[in-house]
Amino acid sequence: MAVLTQARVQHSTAFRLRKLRGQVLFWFVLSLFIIFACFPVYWMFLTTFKQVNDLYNLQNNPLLFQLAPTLDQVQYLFERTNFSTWVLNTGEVGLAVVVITVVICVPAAYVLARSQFPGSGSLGMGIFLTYLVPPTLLFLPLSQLVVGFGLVNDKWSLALVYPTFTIPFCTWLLMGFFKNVPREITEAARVDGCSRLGAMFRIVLPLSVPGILTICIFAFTLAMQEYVYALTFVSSSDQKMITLGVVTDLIRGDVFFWGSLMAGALIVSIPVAIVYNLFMDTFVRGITGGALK
Amino acid sequence: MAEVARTRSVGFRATGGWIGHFLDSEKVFGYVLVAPAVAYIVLLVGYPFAIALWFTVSNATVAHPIANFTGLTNLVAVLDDGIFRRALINTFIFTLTSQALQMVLGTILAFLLLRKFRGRRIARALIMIPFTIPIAIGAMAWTWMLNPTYSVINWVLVHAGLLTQGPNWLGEEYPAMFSIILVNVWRNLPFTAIVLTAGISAVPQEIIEAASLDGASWLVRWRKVMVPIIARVHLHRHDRCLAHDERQPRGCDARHRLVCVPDGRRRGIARPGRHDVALPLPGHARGRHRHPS
Repeated sequence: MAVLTQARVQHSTAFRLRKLRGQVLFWFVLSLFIIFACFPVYWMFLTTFKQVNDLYNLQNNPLLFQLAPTLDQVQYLFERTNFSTWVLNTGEVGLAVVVITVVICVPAAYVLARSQFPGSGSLGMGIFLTYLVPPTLLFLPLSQLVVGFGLVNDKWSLALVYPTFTIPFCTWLLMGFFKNVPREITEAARVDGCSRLGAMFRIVLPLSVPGILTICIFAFTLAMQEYVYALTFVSSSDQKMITLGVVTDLIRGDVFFWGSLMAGALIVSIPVAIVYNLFMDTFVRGITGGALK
Repeated sequence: MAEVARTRSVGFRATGGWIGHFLDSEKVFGYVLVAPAVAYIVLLVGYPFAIALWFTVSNATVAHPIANFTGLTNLVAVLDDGIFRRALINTFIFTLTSQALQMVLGTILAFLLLRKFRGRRIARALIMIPFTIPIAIGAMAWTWMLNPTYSVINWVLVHAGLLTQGPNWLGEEYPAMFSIILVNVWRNLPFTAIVLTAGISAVPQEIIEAASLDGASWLVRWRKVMVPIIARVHLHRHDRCLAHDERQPRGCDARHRLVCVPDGRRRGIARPGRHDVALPLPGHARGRHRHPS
């Protein structure tokens, strides 16, 4: 009897030890991933707020502040560059892209997800495939189109071309949301005398508000992040969007204004990071949209 | 019947009169709603794409866009160019290595994030950060971290005693390739992991339980049960566009069963009624784990 109890105690200790080891390993590996993901952001933060003497002193430990933090770099960004104009441009162009995207995507995604008509399958596939055409292939011919529209070196040229990638992406995402609204609901509405259009506006769209909100966010952030088209179609500083402005205007010849560059980078990144994380769950539901139901 | 007909006709009037009526044909409704998206894509992706193809077989230059057909001359010239061939090989090395790393690390990360632990949401938000930062901005941060003189990575490596002198990351052949692969993995790993997380959590728990009761080891469960289902989640976007098979009964088609447990053993499983989960799976996954009965 005594032997039995002892054996059980030993087993339980070994079990607990194994569990503890698992926990330690888990947190160790997870922290490695988190450090890998976040270190560049920490580095941006340090560079932004360090004094120039501290930043470029090779004797100092670069991972810590050796001198008191300063706002000089941020001040330089706002006072000596067009940073506030870039922010404004980003807002205007981003909003235009969102409006165009939503107006075009919502009806297209709706019928592609919920109606059957000749060619609907291949149309849906075709729209999805256009997302795979890289901007590096299209920017040369598109620049001719931009000239044709009289939008050379104008931020609104970007509002025209950005929907080329937001429309396929958002249509594909929205289709997932629309598929998740049960067919029976619209069928019931139809039997009760609602037209197809009525069923869409009165039944399905109100139920899909989170999905539509998600594509607004993604259209905006995709437009904000874009680089190739922005670099090609816009050259004067007052027409630039925020990403392009930060990356191009803070490098003069060989001189990199690292402090202000990272300040701009940090200011761009933080709001996007927060918004993305808020909408991540809805986004994931969109991509996997009813995959296994 | 007459009652239904009357309500329907009243419904038409109530929801937009002749427009609603006109759009009530599924075909017309579909084509009208998808038309703006198709028009936008044809004009701003299709047309430029065609022009880009024309450029490859013509002698157009920026100064002389009106050009003659030159056949395959451009392609031959490009393939004769040693730099282009080198770039092509580099692209393959870069893409394959980066994707392989992302899949391996992404799977590990996905399993870590699926565990229930305190602070899971915060951990996930931190892991997501690289994906939310605009690509150009993230690239600038890494350029600064890999700077030949002020590289913080070299500082850490040297002070950890791993190297006596760090490489010039972006200025030497192999370190440069390593660096861009590293940055690409940094950027895309969160997205890969999140999509894999969604895929893994979509695998019904019953199937895993059934497989382990049948004696499938961890590796077999992963390779033969989870991977096919996750692959299906990833491919779902295609079949969402291609196949409108939602209404076809999937019910009890034996073909779709993944795990067929003999009746006698069903009693041991938590929810006996539910593990006949019908899943259309890629061919090789079907019915592999039949219990020898």
